[in-house]
Amino acid sequence: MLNIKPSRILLYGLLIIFVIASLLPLWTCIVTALKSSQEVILTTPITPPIDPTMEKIIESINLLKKPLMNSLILVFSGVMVSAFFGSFIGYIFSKHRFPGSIYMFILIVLCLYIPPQVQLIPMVRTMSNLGLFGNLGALVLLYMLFGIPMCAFIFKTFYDDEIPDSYINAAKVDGAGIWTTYRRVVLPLSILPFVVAALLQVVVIWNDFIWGLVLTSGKANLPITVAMANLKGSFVAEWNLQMAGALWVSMPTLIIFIFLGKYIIRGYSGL
Amino acid sequence: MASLTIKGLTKKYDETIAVENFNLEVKDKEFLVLVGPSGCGKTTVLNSIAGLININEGEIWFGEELVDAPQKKLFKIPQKRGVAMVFQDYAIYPHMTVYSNMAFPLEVRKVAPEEIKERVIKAARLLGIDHLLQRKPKALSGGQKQRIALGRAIVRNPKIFLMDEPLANLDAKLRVQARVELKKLQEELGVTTIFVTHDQIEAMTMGDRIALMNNGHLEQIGPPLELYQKPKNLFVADFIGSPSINMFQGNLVKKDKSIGIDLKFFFYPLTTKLSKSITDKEISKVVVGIRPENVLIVQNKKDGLFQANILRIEPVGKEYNIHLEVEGKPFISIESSADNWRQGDRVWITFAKDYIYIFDQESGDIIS
Repeated sequence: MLNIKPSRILLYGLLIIFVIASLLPLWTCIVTALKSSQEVILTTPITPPIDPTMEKIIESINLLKKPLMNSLILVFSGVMVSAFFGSFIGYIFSKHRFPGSIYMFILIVLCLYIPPQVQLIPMVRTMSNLGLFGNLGALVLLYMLFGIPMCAFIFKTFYDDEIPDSYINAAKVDGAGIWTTYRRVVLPLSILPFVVAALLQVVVIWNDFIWGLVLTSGKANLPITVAMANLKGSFVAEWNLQMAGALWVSMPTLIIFIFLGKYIIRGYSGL
Repeated sequence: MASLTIKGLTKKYDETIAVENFNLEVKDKEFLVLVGPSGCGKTTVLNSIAGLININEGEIWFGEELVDAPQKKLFKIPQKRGVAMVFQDYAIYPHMTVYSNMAFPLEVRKVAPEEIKERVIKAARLLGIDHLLQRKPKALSGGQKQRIALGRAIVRNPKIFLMDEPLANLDAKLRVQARVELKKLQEELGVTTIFVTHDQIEAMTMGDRIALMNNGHLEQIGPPLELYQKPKNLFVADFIGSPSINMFQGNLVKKDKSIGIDLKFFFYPLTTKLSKSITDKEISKVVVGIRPENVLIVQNKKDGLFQANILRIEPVGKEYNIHLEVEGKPFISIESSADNWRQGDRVWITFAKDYIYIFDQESGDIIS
């Protein structure tokens, strides 16, 4: 006879309910994507497909090819640039403090808390003044800049905790300037925060919708999230096509969370 | 190679004064130990010499060269001072091999690659770490890391070595060995060295001279034995020596013609010469200091003795630390043998006459 406490049973019961509730959308997404248009109308969203077909999945990737490329460009450029600047800024604020530097750093971190909604109009005007409005270039620039505060925060926390000041002082006494110390000593020791910052930024940029919607126009410039939203037909809702698109969009982040999720958690919990 | 002069150094952190009006002269090729309890400002002095912190007042000279003088708006950055520093945690870069660690300061200074190789190998041989050059420091022991840090300092041919407790992270046995080696190395290289430590044994054994600091001030500077034998004040007497000096509070009293010190449990008469020097000063409360090796336990009662209880007998190997107590006041005697006594015994005690220190209780300064 197994001796299990009733509280345990209750706990597991609740956990199972939460798991089902969390996985239900994904399940619906997968089963719907595999259904033919006729079957979508005839069955409920959660019943498995009777006659699974890859048709819509292939159709959606053909439609999303260009936006997928766009999003990849955004992710790579954004991650590279903001991680690099974030690292250097984090290094300066952690190891080369100057009077008032802590307030400057707080200001940088505060940028994380400005909701995008209030920035929409100013940003559209700025981008039009720069002649970038409607282009993919607007998004490239935006993600590069918007990623810096988060990256700076991640890198500063890492440098504060993991790189002793004596490394910097030793390099100083040995004749190395700020940049040489960064390149020769700090940068090679920063692999972990680069992984963490890059993953966080990949997820943020990949999943972003509002900036792509507002700042780009024309089919050629859309990021994948916006293009996916456009998959819904004008007159008939093609659920299976939309769900197939959603599968493609969520795939990369899902894979990242499953295999590299621990690094993302470290990013949010201060490494 | 250079001498070092510090004049009137003052460093404040916000409102806290870390070091105040600190003066120091270190001769060329000298090994000077800067010692003191934690928070006394010794590391601040060292970092000021290196240029790692900005001082508020004072001047720092390397030989004839002024490197730091805030009043004259002069500050030479650490990169340009030509000092080499060894840190307590060694500050060895974990991603570089031992060779790269030692070559780093030379590479930064753009020394020719062949010369770098030559100098690194020479330094590694000198330190006996030439077989480790291709290893990463992660797997190395504390003693080896400490040598790498030393090696990185040596390859530079610096004017001055600064060492911030470089032996503190070694285990006790290794530390004794490293002490000897480091001292020998310094003599061979003849580089002026400032060595910071909180360990008075390290200070005593390594320093040509010791500068003892407390609360941001220099208490006394001199050769080790001078500090031990002629402490200027209570703090110095207490800090130097292990086990530390025994101290008894007492009052100066006149008895018959001579002056003596009333220690409550014992009346200690002063010699005429001593009493003369004391009567000139208006002091009544004093502290008597006596080193443990000068507290003698005697078999039989004689004049000028007092009785104490043995609390504990600690064998330390070649000698015994005997913990005693008189009227609730504990003190220690060092004896070469403890065969005649047992814990709890009541014994007769005397102080070796010429080795007693008398301090003014108020100022802490020595009277005799």
